[in-house]
Formats: sequence, structure tokens, C-alpha cells
Amino acid sequence: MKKSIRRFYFFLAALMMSTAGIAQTILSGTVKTKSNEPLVGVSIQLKNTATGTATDADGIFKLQIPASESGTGILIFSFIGFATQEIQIGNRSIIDVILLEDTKALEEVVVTGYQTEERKKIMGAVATVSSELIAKIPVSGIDQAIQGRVPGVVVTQNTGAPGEGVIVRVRGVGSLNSNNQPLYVIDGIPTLDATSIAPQDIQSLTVLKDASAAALYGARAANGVILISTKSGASNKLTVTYNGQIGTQSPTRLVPMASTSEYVKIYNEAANNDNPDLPSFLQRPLITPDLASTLSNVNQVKAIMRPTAILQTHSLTFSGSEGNTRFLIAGSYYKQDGIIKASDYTRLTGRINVESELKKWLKAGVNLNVSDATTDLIGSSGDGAGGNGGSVVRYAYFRSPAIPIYDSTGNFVDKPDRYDLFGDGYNPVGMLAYNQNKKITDRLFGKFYVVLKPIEGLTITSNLGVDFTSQNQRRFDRNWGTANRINNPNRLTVVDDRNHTITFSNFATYTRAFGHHNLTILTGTEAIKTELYEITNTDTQFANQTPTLTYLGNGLGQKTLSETRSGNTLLSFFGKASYDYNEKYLVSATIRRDGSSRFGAGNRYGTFYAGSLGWRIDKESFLMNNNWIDKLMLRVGYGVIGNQEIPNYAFSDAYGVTYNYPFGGAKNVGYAVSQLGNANIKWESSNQLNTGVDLVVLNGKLSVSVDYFNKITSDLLNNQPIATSAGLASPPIVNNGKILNRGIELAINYTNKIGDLQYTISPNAGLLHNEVLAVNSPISGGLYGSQYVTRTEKGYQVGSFYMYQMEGIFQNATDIFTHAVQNPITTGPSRIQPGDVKFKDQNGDGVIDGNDRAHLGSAIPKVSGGVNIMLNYKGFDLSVFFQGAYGQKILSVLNRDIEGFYRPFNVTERYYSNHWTGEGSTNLYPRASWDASGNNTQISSRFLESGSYTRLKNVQVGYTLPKSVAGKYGMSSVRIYFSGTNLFTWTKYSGMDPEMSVSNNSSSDGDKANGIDWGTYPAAKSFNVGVNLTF
Amino acid sequence: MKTIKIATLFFILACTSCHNFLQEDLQGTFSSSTFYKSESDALVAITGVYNSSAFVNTMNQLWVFGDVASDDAVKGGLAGDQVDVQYIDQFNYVRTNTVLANVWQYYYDGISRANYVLYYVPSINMNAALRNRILGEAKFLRAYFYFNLVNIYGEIPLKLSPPLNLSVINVPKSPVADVYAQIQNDLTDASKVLSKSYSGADVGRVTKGAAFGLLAKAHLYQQHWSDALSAIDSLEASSGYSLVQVYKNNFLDSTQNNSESIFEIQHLSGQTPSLGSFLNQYFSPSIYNGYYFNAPVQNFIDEFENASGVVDPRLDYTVGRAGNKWVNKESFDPTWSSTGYLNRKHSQSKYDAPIIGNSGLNYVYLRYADILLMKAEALNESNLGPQAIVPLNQVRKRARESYLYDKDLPGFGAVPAGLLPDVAYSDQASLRAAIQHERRVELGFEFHRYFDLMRYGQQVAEAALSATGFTYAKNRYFLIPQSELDTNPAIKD
Repeated sequence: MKKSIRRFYFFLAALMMSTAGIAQTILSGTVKTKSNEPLVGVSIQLKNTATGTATDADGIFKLQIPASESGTGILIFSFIGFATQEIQIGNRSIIDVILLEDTKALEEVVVTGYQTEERKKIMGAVATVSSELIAKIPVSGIDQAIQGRVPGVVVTQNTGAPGEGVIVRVRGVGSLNSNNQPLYVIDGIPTLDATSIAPQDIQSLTVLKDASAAALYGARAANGVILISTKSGASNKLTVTYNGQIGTQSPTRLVPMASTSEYVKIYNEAANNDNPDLPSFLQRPLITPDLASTLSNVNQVKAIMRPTAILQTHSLTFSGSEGNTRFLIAGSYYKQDGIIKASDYTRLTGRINVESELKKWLKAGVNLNVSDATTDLIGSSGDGAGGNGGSVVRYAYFRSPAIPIYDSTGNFVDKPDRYDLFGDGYNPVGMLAYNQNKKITDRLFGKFYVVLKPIEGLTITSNLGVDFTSQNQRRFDRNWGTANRINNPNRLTVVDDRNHTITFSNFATYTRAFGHHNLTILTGTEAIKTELYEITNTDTQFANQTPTLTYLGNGLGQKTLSETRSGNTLLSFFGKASYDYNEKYLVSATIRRDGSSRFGAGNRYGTFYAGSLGWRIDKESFLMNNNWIDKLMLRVGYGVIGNQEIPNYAFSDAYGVTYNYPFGGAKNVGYAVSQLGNANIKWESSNQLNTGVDLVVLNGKLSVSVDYFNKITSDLLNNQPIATSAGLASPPIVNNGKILNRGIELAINYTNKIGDLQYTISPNAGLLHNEVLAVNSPISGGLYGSQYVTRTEKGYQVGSFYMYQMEGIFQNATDIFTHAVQNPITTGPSRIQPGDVKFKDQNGDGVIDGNDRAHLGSAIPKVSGGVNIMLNYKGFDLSVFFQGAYGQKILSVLNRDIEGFYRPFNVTERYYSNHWTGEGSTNLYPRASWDASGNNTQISSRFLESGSYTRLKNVQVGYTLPKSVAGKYGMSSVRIYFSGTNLFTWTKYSGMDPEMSVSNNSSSDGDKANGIDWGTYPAAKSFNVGVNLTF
Repeated sequence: MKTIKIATLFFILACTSCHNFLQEDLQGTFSSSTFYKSESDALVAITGVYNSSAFVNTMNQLWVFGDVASDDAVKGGLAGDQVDVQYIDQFNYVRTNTVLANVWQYYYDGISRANYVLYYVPSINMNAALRNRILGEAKFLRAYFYFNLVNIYGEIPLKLSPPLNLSVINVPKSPVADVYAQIQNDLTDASKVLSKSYSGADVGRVTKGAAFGLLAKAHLYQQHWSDALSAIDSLEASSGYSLVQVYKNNFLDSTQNNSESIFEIQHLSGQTPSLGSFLNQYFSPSIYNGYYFNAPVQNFIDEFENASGVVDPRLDYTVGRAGNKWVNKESFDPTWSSTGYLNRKHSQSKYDAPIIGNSGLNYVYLRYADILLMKAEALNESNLGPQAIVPLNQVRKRARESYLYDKDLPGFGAVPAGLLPDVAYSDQASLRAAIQHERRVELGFEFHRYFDLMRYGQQVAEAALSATGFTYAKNRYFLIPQSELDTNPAIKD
């Protein structure tokens, strides 16, 4: 009886007309949308009968009904994506109807995990970001697009290289393990990597910040959950949208370096400072005026940059519906040329979202996203101990400007003849020219789902999620340089991996109202299985280094091969009950039990729970009649959620198989432990309290939300360094410590109109107090050379910088004599001389040793936030977006290279102009000397700087053509715009980008050692022009 | 209703798949629970311990302590390069010095690997003799690592179990004597089960002689003269070690593992991952792609004896200097080094160009000449001076007779008159000086000199290192690295 195929209705209507007989009334009319567009295929039915029809291609319907039905009879107009309307016929014969789009959308519902909830009933700390804001900034990933949009969510650059992703922290640093990222749930399917989704495909984004909101994701929710819904077909009419943007990028800030003439002066000054104290055979030669006059003057940092780096993004979307089937088909192309040569990122995505209402009680659909991303990787952070080789940025900074890039024959100059005068670093331009390190990632992400509505109020959903990633990375380390010193022998590494994740979730929601009592119950199960399979091949000694010939098998040296398989599973049972009385008093309770294969048999299961209470004060009688408060809600939630993001098999140790040794002149294979295990590893858990107030006043013009949270994470999972005397095997993952994150978040939105000028100002801010409450013994992090530069210790922030404090520069001999002994181990003549760095004697014992290190701040911002301003005037729109973070520190180890003066490397302009030249000259920059005491080069607060910044993140000016003009070209909407990103940064930080947070070197330390700048990929500013077209 | 049935089915489906769903075992990778099951596992595990002794990983900076810290050498290399090595040379180091941290962690890693073998291999069902030999090899190697560590750092944590839990990881320091006692126990145990010699595919494994040799050295370092002598007697009785005719054959890849070699760390070039030594690159001139570290100083050159204008041939075997050839037969250019000299014992004659730090040349830690000089010393200190000159003169004879056997030596054919004459006994003190002199020139740049200076005592050590900030009271032992203090709560300073 509920046949819903349009063709059938046409047939039926025709049949009915042909059988028109006595006592029949003919009704007709058109069905249109609010914007006056005819709706095709709307079902029209006479209530409680089999009589019905559908609208034709012009939205017109005709229906014969028994005469008895006119008057009291009711027609039901229903169409997918639109709210169903019931209309009493009365004495009309022409009934024109305007269908409104799905009421759900109008009532503002929020996707909250396994369900949607009405905004007004939400009690947890939940924030949403609209699709317009997400699509505004030309970035490759969704996570980048939410920077500064949500209070309490801090987004920082990873290394900053194109395609490298970002670091997202929800409400501070709650874990110590290297994966502190929030959980992403894309269309109901959980993942830790959202980079393959095009921002243009996003319909809505919700951030669940506290336990009461996130407890449904129990085990994986401790660091927040970001729910993403992709767009789906809505209107009956086919809509075609094209969004395109193209722009150019340039570095926001480069550190000014000394020129060749300055280099010569500072080199000779340092040599003259050192030579009197050295035996003649160790004295340094000077750069003579004759030699100096022949030198080039190269800006090595500019030389590794592209003059113009293009950034472009295009997306094309078709959406609409056909009968009871809604569809969206989208494709996008994103290409970012690196501002550094040879570091490009390209991504293609395709999406199909189809949903069909097969029966009134049965829907089925598929959401599929395919993506193909190509990343040209370069070493741009760290010292080469990371994955992609030595940092070209670091090499470019410290390379002397006197070394030309090419010799007279056009070949790269590598090691200069006078390396004693100009240093022996590699030529960074050559490194880029010969760089061959490409990663291709193909990913299929999506779900197949079925939704049943067997009885009123009950919805049963079954999701089968698939996430298949295959990745191929080929890196050829070409042999080149002076005397072929670089990468000798050459080497090819090919890594092929496949990552399969299957998510199977089944859940039911039951909603029922009993008078003023509203009850919703959700219950379900989820099983997730992930498997990573990887093959790594290496080959070496390629006689011919032509890229087309450097393939496995062509090398003359030894080949190696390894295969690994690694998996983990997660099994969960969950339930949530929500009740409210007349939307005034609200209460909900959540429970989730999770089992994870990552823990040993005895510790697999964890139970997590949360509860929340809400009170809509404005619904109380004493506020009912006021005319300025639209909403005033108090809410409080408490819960315990977990974290299991550790490597698989942490309960077991693991052996490396290449600890070989030759006997009898032949290789013998050797095994040794390479990773220690911990059989007692168990869940990390987070107790979270959240309380907040939502206030909406002035007819919705002003809304304010304030949240206070107190989050205590216990049994922190982390791979803290163990005694170095345990050897070189990686430390086991242990449960150690307790961390407090406490804070206040504020979000304000003010919208108003002055004539035709509509404006919205929305500032948001988060304050954070991070403190280690307990730890068995302090956890060291950030190994630099042989020195740990951070310490996670009771009473301080996570990853707090722990080092000597510079107390100025020794100005004269008396100063040295009266101050604490800087190096107690030597009894010979002290190397400390006037002009050297002075360390503070923290414990006042008269000697400087390890006990004089102090906690000097951390990379965790104390305040973060953003301000978004939007103006609309007739067809014009303007948006301005500022974003900032305050109170964090950055340790610039790059400055140790370029201001530390330990080899004949170039120095910064700042050092050149301000260094110590005699008593009273400066208290900041020590004298020029290579043989000075270790104080000048040792990591100390000398290299620790404030990382606070405010950034003008985005400015966009757009113009939307009047509909009448657009219509002439067959388009329903045309908007063109200009935008600029990262236009200006206010910061005291001397490095390239205060947003930097991790380098390849410290990435395995996670939040134990953030904010160490090894010479990161510079942030880009961009100027773009774009167009949004809708047909 | 039918639909509810379907829905129920989904739930049942979801749950029936739960059985054993959470059981994920390590695949494709060995763990302690899947390894140590067979004879071949035991062999593979002991190979992993040997790996820690090799100069494959640049963390193995024994050369910095043995040579650079001594009066033989300075850091050399590009000024500013590896400045932490310079701080060691000048005794101006701090606890965060990377050399202190590298050697510490690298040798403790070897100890950890040996401890795994000693913990797990005893329960493997395998050939008992082979098992005992493997355990002996592990004990020898553990003793070797501890011997180096205790002589560099003094009081150190004595770890005899693998790092299976924090109580065996966070171990406090033990007195020097306790570490030595363990070394002696391990070497005594090893000497009972190790083979006298190996052939074919097993050449390079530690031998009974190596255990006695290192035991003798451990006793000598503690001035246990008679114990040292008895260990040397056992060594000489167990196998026929002898000096090779040509001194330089100890440092050529074509004549490795010779009759003089007692404990020789094996290297092999051209392997992936590398099994070659990095030392040749570290010590070669820059024009051949080297870093020219560990540069000999004039004081070392001056130690070599002359006779009628002819110098001890060992000088030119040990250092490159103006007038002689570098190992690749090119004339040595003194501007290659800031001191005018480079050491050449670790740069093989089969010269790869460019040098890539992947040399097949072995490092001979203990050779029979060392044993002979130890014997001379122990006899002299036991007031048996007249006997002591015999092994001493054996070493000198071989050196001067290079002129009879080394065709490449200018003046080959006859020993120059008065060169390296036999030492006659006059008194204990002069013989002691003669033996100390002989050790310096015979074993120069084999990473022993600094340790010899320290055991000779305050007077000798302070005199030799007077140009630096060294005092015996403060610098007899180096500092335990800060990274250990920061990670091991059982050690406070």
C-alpha cells in the first residue's frame, strides 16, 4: 500500500482519471519549494485511503477524490528531504502547497554520535562549525579548517610541509602518548585520520569536548571526538555546484641572516678571539681581504624557495534526488606546490552518497569517499634523525652565504675547498634537486548502511564501515656531492602498505513522548578490526642513478626485504538514556563497555560512563513572560572515559632481526630485543567534569556560552624513557601519572543589521591550566644530543622545558670570579671568559651542575582563541578571522645552529649586529668564539622564547551576483571572492613560525616534548581568487 | 513483526562474531615468548651480542677515551666538529656531553643483550656443549663491556638480568671492586667452556685464550700481579699465540685474525645493514672524504726511539706524517691535519675511495704483544725484573726485525744498527718506565693509552695530562651521563 515509485503513481493517476465517475471531485494544484521552485514527484495522498498521486515535472498534480471526502478530507504531501504536510481540503479545488525543507534542519539538530539531538537539549560541551566556515580557508584538511573556530580546541602545524597534517588538541594535553589526537567519526565511522576528506564535502562538524558528550565513544574519547557529516542530496532538483580557488603562496617570515661581508667579519672576529689561546698548530686561518673580494653572496634560504608556489583547489558537486533516492556525487582536486622546492602535495577525491527509502520503514544507503594523494617529501624538520633525511631548511640557514650554489660548469657546489672557513654542510639546493621521496596514498573510506523503523519511535541502524588505505612510498637517496660523499652507497627504499579497517556497528534508538515526558533510549554494539600489512624492500649500489632506472632489482649491492602484519580489535557495548520533562528539566546517562586487543588478556575490558543534568531556566514560570531572554540553560556533566591509543602489542616485547655480525668473513644474522614490552599495560582513564551556561538574548541576536571543565587523566599511557643503562631498545609503554587540565571556555556570537548591512562578530577563547598531579618519577623527554630538554614532573605542565637558565653574559673577570663555578669538573684554567653565557645557580651551592636546571615553561598555550567577523551588504560579503595562542614557549634549536657559534656556519643578522664585543655591550648574545665554553652552545633558556602569537588568519571579500544576472547565464548563484591567509602575524618569536609544534626528531615523544623548533617548514601566506557557482 | 526479527538478527550477528575477537597476537615479529626455542635461536641471539662490540655504530666512541683523552692525541678534525670530543680531551666536559652518553648506552645495550642470552638460553633444549659455549661467549662479552665501562666511569650499576621490569632496570651504582669481581667471575666461567680456536665459518668468536687474556688484563688493572701471571700462563698453555713477523700485519685486512690476535672485533664491508667499521672515515684526511679526528700530537711522535737517524718502524706504521706515504700510497700532506699527523692503524690498505665509513678492517682489542708487555709488567712488579725483560725484549725484537721481513720498508734487508736494542735489567723503576714506554709505542692508537695512564696512578697520569684541566682527584673517572641520572631514580649523582 505504500508504493512509492513515481512511475507507479503516474500510472495510478492516469488510471483514476480514466475511471472518473459519479460523485468524484477533482483537486489540482502545484507543489513548490520556499524559493518558488516546482517539486517533482511529491507524493500526495488522501489520508486513510489508497487514493493518491504525485506531482509531474512542473510540480503540478491532479487527484480525483470521492466527493464525500472534500471538506473534512485531509491530503498528505510528502517528499524526501522535506517536512510532510497535512492539509485539510475544505471546499477548495485548487490547492497550492509550499513544502519546507526537512524540519530537522530548521530545528537545528546536532549530530552527537549514533544519533542526532536537538541543539536546545544538549547538556555536554558540544561545539559545531558550519560548512561555510570550513570551506572558507584553502587548506587540504578539515582539521586545519577548524583552527580558531572552537574554544578549547588548539590546532597547530605539524612540520608545516604540504600534506603533513596538523596537531589537534581538545581541552589541553590529557595524555602523554604520542597519539593525543581526537577521534574523528565521519558519517558514523571512527577513524584517527580525516585527511582524505575534502572540506567542500562537509555538511556539519561537531566537536564533543567533555565526557558527558563523548562517553558514547568511551574508550577512544578521552581526547575529544570530532563528528563529521558529509553532504547529501536534498532538493528534488538537480543542483550542480562548482567551487574553484587559485592562489600563490610565499613564506610568512624568514629569519634574516648575515651577508657574506658580515660573515667574513664575524668569522675573522671569532678567529682573532680564539687564536691567542691556541697552540700555533690549532690556530685558525683568517679570511683575507683578497679572498673576501672573490666571494659570492648567496641567500641560501631564498635559494631553496620557489619564486611562486601555486595553490589551487577545484570541486564539482552534483546533488539531487530521483524518486525516493537522494544522491550526491562530488569530485575535488587539491594541489599545493610547496613554497620549498620539491615538496608538493596533490589530492584527488571522489564521493558518492546515495540513500534510498525503499519502504516507509526501510532505508538503505552508501557513502563512499575515494582519494588519491601524492606527497613529495623532503626533510624539512629535525636533523635527519627523523624520517625524511636532513632538514634542507636547517642546512640552508647555516650554510655560509659565501658558497655559490653552482660552480662555473653548472654543477652543484657541495663542500667548498675552504671548508675550514665556510663550513662543510651539504648544498641544500642540490639536496632538493636530487630529492626523490614520493608517497602515494589511496584510500577508500565509507559505509554501507541500513535503517529500519519498524514501529513508531524506534530506529534501528546497522553500519558497515570500510576504511581501506594502500600506500606506496619510494625513496631514493642519490649519491652525489664532493668526492661522492653524500649517500654513499646510494640506496632505494620502497615501502608498501595496506591498512584495512572494518567497523560494524548496530544500534537502536527509541524515542517516545508521554505527555510532557520525553524519553530517548539508545543501545548498540560496535566491533572494529584494523589490520596493517607492510612490505619494505631496499636495494643499493645503483650504477645508473637515472630516476627511470632506480627500481628494485637494478642495484648491485645487497637487497633486504621485510614483511610485517599488525592488527588490533575493539569490541564495544553502549547505551544512553535521555529524559526531559517538558524540555525544562533534562537528564541523561551513558555507559559504554570497551574491550581492546591492545591490552593483555587480563586488562582488556574497561567500562566508561557519564551522566548529565540540564535546566532550562527560561522555561520556568518566573521567566516565561520576559521578552529578552530566549534561552537560559544551566548544564552539568560528569563522566569517565578512556584512552587506548598505543601501539599494538605493547604487552609484548619485540625483536629486531638485523643485529648482524661477521664470523669467518661472512655475515651471520643476529637478533636482539628492539622494543620492550609491558604485560601489565591497562586503560588510561579520564575523569571529566563539565559545567556550562548557555544564554541567548535579544531575539537570538546575542548568544553566549560559558563552560568550565576539570579533567583528570590517570594511569597515563606513555613510552617514557627508561634508564639509559637498560640499553637501546625502545622503552615499554607504561601507565604512569596523573594530569589535570582545567579551564574555562567562552563562545560569543552577536548578529545584527544596520539597514542592508548585516554583521556577525563571534569571538571565542579558552583558558587552560595544565598540571601534572602525580608521576612515579619525573619523565624526561626531548632528547637533544645526550640532553633531555623537557621534564614532565609533579607540579608542572606536561613536557615542561627543563634546562639551565641564562642569567646574562659575563661582562668581566670579576663577574666570573664572583659567580658560581660554571664547570666544576675542570680544575685547569676556566674556559669561561668575559662575553660567555652565565647560568643561574638555582640551588645556590656555588657550582653549576644538573641540579641547577629549572622548569621554564612549556609548549602548551595558556590561552587560545579566535575572532571571526562577517559583514554582508547587498551582494558583498567580507570576513576577517584572527586566531592566536598565548603563554607557550618554543625552544629554538635552530638558533643554536645559527647563533650558537660552534662551527663555521652562518649567523643571524640579529646575532651579527648585537653580539658581545666588550664590557657592557650586551647581556643577550655571547661573544663570537668557537672555543668558548660549552655554556654558549649548550641548550639553555638562551634558546627558549615566547611562542605567543596573534595571526590574521584569513580575510575574504566576496561578491554574489544578483539572481537575475546569474539566471541569464543559467546559474542560480554566482559568487566571486578574493582571500588572503596568514596575512600578518604578531609575535616576538624569532623563528619562522610560532605555530610550529613538533619536529621529526621529537615526534615519538608526543606531548612530552613539543615546541622544539629544528628549523621547520616555513608557514605560507597566500593570496587567492575563487568562485562559487551553482547551476 | 518481521522487521524486528531482522533487527534482532543484526544484533545476534554482531555478537556471535565476538568470540576470540579481542585476541591479537604479534605476527611476523619475534618476542621473548616465541624466541629462544631452538639451537639456531641461541646462535642468532649470541650474534646479536657480538653486534654491540663492533664499530658499526658511531656511538661506539671508545677511541675518544682510549686515545683523545690521553696524551697521544687531540680531537683533530674540523674545528667545532664533534666539539664534545674536544671537551673530553680538555677535561672540560659536563654530564650532558654526548660522548659520555653514547658509550654508556651503547655498551650497556651490549650488556643487556648478553643478559638476555644468559637468562633464556639455559632453558633451550639443544646440544649441551654448544649451549655452554654460547653462554661462555655471552659472559665474555658482558665482561668486556663492563671492563670498558668500569674503567671509564668507575662506580656503575651492575646489571645481571635483562630489563624485564623496573626493579632490574633502576639499579644503583656498585663499587668498582664489585664490578671487577663480576668481570673475573664471568671470564673464569667463560674460560672453562670456550673453544681454544675456531676455523672456517666460526672464526672471530671469542676463545678460551681471549677469556684468559682479558682476565689477565682485569687483574693487572687491579694490580693483582700473581693472578695476572697465572691467567697469562693459562693463556700461553691453552693455545699457541705468537707475534706475527711484520708488525703492520695486525692492521691490514688481508692478515686479520692472525696468530697474534687474541680478541678481535670483526668487520665486513658491503653489507646491508652495514657491518663495516666507521673508524677509517673518522680518521682519514678530508680530501679522501674523512673527518681526520684523533690526530696524534708531537709528544707521541717524540716517544719513538731513534738510532742513527732511523726511527722505530712502528712510528710510520702508526701515524701518517710528512715524508711518509698515507695508506693509499699517496704522499702524506701534513696540512691534512692540524697537528701535522694522522693515525693510520684503522685505515685499511685496501683503500676504498671515497671513504664511506664501511671498512672491513677489524679492530684488534687484545693481541699477544699486549699480553707479553702485561707479563713483563706483572713480573717486574712481582720483583722478578730479570725475568720481566724476556717478554719485553720479544716485543722489541719483532719491532726492529720489521727490517728483515717488511719488503715495503725503506732500508729493508738489515736491522739498522742500535735500533730498539734489548733492554737490560738494572732496577725495578727503570724497567717500569721502559715497559710503560714500550706499551705506548707498541699499542699506540689502539685505544689503550688513557686506561694505562689511569692505572699507572696519580703521578704518571697528572704528568702526562698536565696540558689539560685534568686532576686525578676529580677526573680519575668520567661522570655518569646526565641522561642516566634523569632516567634512573636509583642513581643520585
